[in-house]
Amino acid sequence: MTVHSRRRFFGAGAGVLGAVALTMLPLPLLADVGTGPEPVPPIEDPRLKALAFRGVDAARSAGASYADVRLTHTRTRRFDLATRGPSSEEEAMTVGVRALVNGYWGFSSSPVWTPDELARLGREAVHQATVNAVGGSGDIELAPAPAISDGNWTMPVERDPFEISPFEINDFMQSIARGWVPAHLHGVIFSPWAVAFQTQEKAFASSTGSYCTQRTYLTDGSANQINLNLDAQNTGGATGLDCLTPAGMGFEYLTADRIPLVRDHSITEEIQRAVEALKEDLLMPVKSVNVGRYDAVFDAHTMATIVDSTLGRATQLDRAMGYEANAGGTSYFNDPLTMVGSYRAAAPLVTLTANRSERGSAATVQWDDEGVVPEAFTLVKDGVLVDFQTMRESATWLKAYYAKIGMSVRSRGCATAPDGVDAPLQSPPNLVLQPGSRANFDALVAEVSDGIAIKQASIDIDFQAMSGLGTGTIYEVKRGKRTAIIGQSGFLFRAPELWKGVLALGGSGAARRYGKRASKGEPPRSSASSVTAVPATIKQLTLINPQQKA
Amino acid sequence: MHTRRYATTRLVVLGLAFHAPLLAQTRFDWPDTTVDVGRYTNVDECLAATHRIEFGIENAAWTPVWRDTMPDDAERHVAPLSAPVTQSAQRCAARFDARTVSLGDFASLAKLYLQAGRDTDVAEILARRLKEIGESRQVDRAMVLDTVFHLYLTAQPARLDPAERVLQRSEWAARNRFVRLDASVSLAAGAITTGDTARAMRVGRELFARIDSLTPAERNSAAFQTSSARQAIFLFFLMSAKDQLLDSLHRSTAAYLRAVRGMWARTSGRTPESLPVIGAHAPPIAGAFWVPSDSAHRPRPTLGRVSLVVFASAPSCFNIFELTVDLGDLSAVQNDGGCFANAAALHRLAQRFPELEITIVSRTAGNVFGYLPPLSPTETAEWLERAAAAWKLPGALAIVAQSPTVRLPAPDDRIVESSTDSNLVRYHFGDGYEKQELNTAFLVDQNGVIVWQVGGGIGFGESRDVFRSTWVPMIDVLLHRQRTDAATPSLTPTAEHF
Amino acid sequence: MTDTREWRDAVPRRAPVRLVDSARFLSKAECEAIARRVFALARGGGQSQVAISSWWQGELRWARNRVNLASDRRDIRVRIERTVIDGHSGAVTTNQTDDASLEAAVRAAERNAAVRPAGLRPVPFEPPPVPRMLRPTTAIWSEATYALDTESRSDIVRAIIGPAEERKMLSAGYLEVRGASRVTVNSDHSTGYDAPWDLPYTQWTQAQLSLTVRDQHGTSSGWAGLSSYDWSAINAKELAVRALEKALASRDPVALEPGRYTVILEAQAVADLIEIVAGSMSRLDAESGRGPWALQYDEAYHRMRTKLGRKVVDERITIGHDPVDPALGLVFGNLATGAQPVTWIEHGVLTNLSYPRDYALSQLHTDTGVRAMAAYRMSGGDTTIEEMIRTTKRGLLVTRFSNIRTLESGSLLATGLTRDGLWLIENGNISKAVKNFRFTESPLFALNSLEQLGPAERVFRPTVVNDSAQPLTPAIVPPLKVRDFSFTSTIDAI
Repeated sequence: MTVHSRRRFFGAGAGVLGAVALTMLPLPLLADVGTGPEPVPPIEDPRLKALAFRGVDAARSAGASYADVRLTHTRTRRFDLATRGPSSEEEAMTVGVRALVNGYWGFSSSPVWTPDELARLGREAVHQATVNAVGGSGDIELAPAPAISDGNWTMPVERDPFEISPFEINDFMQSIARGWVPAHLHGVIFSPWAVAFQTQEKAFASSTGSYCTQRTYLTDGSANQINLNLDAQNTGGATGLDCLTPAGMGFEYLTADRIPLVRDHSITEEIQRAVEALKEDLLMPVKSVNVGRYDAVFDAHTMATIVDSTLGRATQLDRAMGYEANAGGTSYFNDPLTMVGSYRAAAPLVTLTANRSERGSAATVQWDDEGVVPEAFTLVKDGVLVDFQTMRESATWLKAYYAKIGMSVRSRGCATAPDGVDAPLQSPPNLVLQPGSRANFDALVAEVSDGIAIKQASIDIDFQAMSGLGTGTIYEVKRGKRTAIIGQSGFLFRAPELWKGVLALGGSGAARRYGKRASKGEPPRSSASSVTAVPATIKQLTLINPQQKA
Repeated sequence: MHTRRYATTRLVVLGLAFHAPLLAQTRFDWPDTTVDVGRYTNVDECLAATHRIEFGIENAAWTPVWRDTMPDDAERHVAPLSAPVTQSAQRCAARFDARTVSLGDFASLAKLYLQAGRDTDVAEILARRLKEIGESRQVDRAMVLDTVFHLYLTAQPARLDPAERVLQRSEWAARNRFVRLDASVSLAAGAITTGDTARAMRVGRELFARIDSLTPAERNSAAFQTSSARQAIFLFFLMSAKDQLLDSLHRSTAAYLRAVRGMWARTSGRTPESLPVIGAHAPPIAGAFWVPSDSAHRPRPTLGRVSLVVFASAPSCFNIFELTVDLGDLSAVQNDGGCFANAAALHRLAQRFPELEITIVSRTAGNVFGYLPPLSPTETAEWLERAAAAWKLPGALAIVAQSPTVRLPAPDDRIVESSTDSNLVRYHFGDGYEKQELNTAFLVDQNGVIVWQVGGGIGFGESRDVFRSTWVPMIDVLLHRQRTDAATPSLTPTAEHF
Repeated sequence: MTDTREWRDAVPRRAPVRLVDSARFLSKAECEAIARRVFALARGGGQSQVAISSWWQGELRWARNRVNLASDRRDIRVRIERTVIDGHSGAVTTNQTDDASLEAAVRAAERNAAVRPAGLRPVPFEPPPVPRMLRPTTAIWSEATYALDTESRSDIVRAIIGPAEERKMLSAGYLEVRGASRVTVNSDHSTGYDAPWDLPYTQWTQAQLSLTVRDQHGTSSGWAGLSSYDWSAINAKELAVRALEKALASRDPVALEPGRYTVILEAQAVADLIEIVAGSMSRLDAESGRGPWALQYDEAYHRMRTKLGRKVVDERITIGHDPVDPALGLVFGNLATGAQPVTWIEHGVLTNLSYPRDYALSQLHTDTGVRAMAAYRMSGGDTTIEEMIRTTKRGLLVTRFSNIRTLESGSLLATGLTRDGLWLIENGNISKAVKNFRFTESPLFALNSLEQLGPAERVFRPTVVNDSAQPLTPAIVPPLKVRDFSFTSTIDAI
């Protein structure tokens, strides 16, 4: 049947495609779901199931004990202020087959959606696994994952950017640009402003019989900068809108008047507020660094960055076990299997949870890339390290621990293949630093008699997510007030001390959510997730001048 | 549905010109790109939309096919907005009721109303705005008026009546007198460019009065001397008083100079002699190459002929460093309107006055269109000759064979432009006269006296307007003077002159 | 550059690339066919530019002495840019090459072109014909790399993991071989836009191997790695041994006081520092007052003067790139930057900064630009690392740096971490393993505080496949002994 259809295709196509069709590399056709080439059907098309299982079955019959397949159809559309309509568009279809043979993983992928190619990929994945059964011995375990029968899910967005006229999107961006140009914001330059919309259709099939399809969205407007010139001498500064980081939302991410946890006002007003805040900073007296240790108040933005770069990395079990040793590094939870459940990772008031279900978050999915429904879980409970980020294989490493605390072994649903061409790898879920009792940043500052306050810090962290250098806007705090900017300043910290030194946390009203991108693995690939955090006061943080040589 | 009409008028901006590809797939498909601006909720979105549509129309219009005259910009001042723009503005503005709408973005709203042709609503929100401000805050009221005034003037077409009414209001008194002066000049300029002679004269008389009422202190104040309006006012006088001027010029250049210098003194508060350029003798133009080559037999400008000397030697004009387009391709018009505007205006002048001697001064830059090794001056001159032909430049083209560049010492090696060539040096008229290479043009009478100059130190901005309103009648007069068999020319300026 | 001149003529003349079956990526014929289709599908005149890149990778990743992923992956990128007659241009990218997809992409590119605002339209530029440049005869294609099949890869890794396991150490690493092709053709230009020189089509290979060995308790870490277009230039066994030895030797490190130390930087560490310099070598930046190479504003010429022609680092330093350097392999980039050797720093003097061709044409009246410092060779000396150690009273031996970031662009002051092996040297001998440091130092300061230079050698500097449009970035760098290198804090990470 397939042979027949291929022949039919070439028969029909040879004339049209000329040399392209007659090559050894099976060149991309239109999707061929078994009855010959045809326009790519929507991911819900039931016939794609047959196509996907072509790969699974090929792998199984070649000797795989387990196999899964991902078909992805990804569209990206970028806009910037300079252009009418999209400034760039990209569309790609890929497929990957992963096979497990005697405890070794093999993977094979390409841009071709045809039954024959799926079969080839299935066989190749098994070949890879078989030939490369090197080191260690015996099979590996996969945490159980209940089979899904034909699940389908579409990320809920209010305005699908791909269903809206590009001109409307552009008009909106232009209007934002116009909105703050008026005289009362003279000297403000908001540039560049670019927004990237992505949508991905994905079909997943596995040899446990699972099959599901989902459509997700990712909107990223983080490429923006606000420059402010106070006077003709161009004395001024720059800031950025931090309410446009990667998010699992549609066009409403830009147009909504307010988005819970992201912003309380329209973007135009957010820009004006950002400018006002910047003005305030620029008019503050500037002091030089007085190196030493101070109690420090971090804003939610900084805390989100710290969560992401310390606990967010350190609690990736593959990292902690040394699977990233030759890439991004390991974890300061260097003995994870003994530490989990007992290690005091932070002050008792710190609880860090994870999920992939928050509406609007960047890592939100219905099924992860092993067909697991990610359930919300807790990583740090009342300061104690109680769990790790896992996928089906790594979850079983915690078997003994889960047994001890009477939990069943479950993947935490962190398997991610950003694209069909990539093999699944563990990557961060959405993280939430649970709120505390204080009202907000200013309330925390008010409690500090002599210390510092830090806004919008960026963090350089080491390869065990332990020691960090932070730079950002750092204020001197005297008697509960921000009294000056500390010029050319930064702070050093060790994650364990920093987290144990948390004195107070802002309340749920002060919680903010930020999208983050993380690069991981070999070859490196990047994925997005969200971190929700509250402002916090940290005991005795080390203030330095980062540009001071020894 | 107006969008249909766009598609047929090549307005691809709306994306309707494209059909789904063969075997219509989801790939790259755009949703229906017609935007229902009626759903827009904020004024700035509406303005963004109308701006986009206007842009699209210009795009389509600008697809560069060389016409031997440029589209006459002055027409745009009187022409209404194109229908698609107005229609979008109307649809988008529909939701904004002038009696209830929030005046948060007052200026944008007024602009949108004008685009939609809802002038009465502009008046309405202006009234509301002033009411909000209250009687006491005169300055704030004046600033609002200022905003509306300029919106009226820059609207398309310009709304001169309401603009003038706004200008009559008492609140202006609360502001700096020069602001008010500038406003009058703007209105006058608007009147001139739209050919509203009567209004131009009326505002002119009012301006006379205001200028005369200035105290010597005010006159000499930096505020006035540096006021953007000052030069403009002077030029405006020349224009509004064109009848006397042309009259005097008809009698003799000397009489004309007396009149001009008088007005200069009256407006600038300086001595009559301080007027730069005008009245000076036009130095001869040097050229190593002449196009056509026989035009170099006598020094130019030629005594006994009315002559126009145009400097077009700026690097951004003819033989430029960066210009890397083929001569045939005039999409560069977009990036460099100046030269081409000038070329077209010259072309029009030449057509109208065959007797007028036109000399265009250019120079070799040593590097044309990135060709390497750099062209010799001769080769460059050939390029320029082709350029002159492509741009239908009338008259003679004098080319100074002097590379306007120097090479910085190694290892820097950059070629930097040197500021002068011999002609530019000669055509420099003392301090207070900032020469401007690009499009600086001199009108020279048959005795070699410069009677008028555009660009450089004094200018009314867009040379096109000046050409239309001043050069034409002046050249007319000079040529009449020159003709032995001259019948007395009609000195009443025709609408065409304006 | 003297380093390369002597063998320049010695290179046997042969075809720059060896055409092989294109089963794993697009062949020249296939690319041409795709380009022809695109040109044929174009509507509304103007010019079309097609950039086609395709790649295959054989990958093998292991950790804890066990392979955890083996893969065979391929993908394609077709970027279609249409510039319509009035100069508007628009581009889209797809990875599908069937007719319908290509047509959809062409239409989309034209649609995007059509909606660009007039003010931004680029002036169409037909560059003057590029004078035919010598076509470098250096290889960029390695059969050894392309033929390193699945079986061979597993044998290699088996041989790497074994010794680590015997010593009760944990080995993690990554082996990757790539075969890729790339072409950029323009409907209006006779030749391709990209090198290799006057060949529009290039196919090349890249091999990389890197590994990290740690002890069971994570108290030590040793790294070794190498990348080259040619697998046969990578000695897997040697890398395995080096990483293992470093791991064994770096157990139970002691903390030292931060401060200024004489450092012996292994070639990899030097290369990590030089990254910052390489990224700064832009003439346009310097002339707009940015970066370390701006000097001061010249009132006379109204131009920013640069440090070109001035001594900026130790006179023993020469950094350049010769496309026919066989040790690097033919590195291609923008055709407009030519095939000539480039020297950015010669005997300590800043002699070149990178710029594009249109800058050359308009600002210098020359016909080619200077390529970016993507691939480079840095001159070395003849002092072996052993000799450097022997002659050091007190200092540190650095394996490599990690997490480097520029703090101040004017001085290139940067901060970063030591990683995977740091030792104290006392009285000419390695005395003990040392906990990692954060440094705060400018590579320019380091290059001005040289004591000794070792023989230049290949380092680990692969490109990521997602950037397969990027030129390869091999580098040849010497180990250096540097005075007064500033370490500002100790870190516990291992």
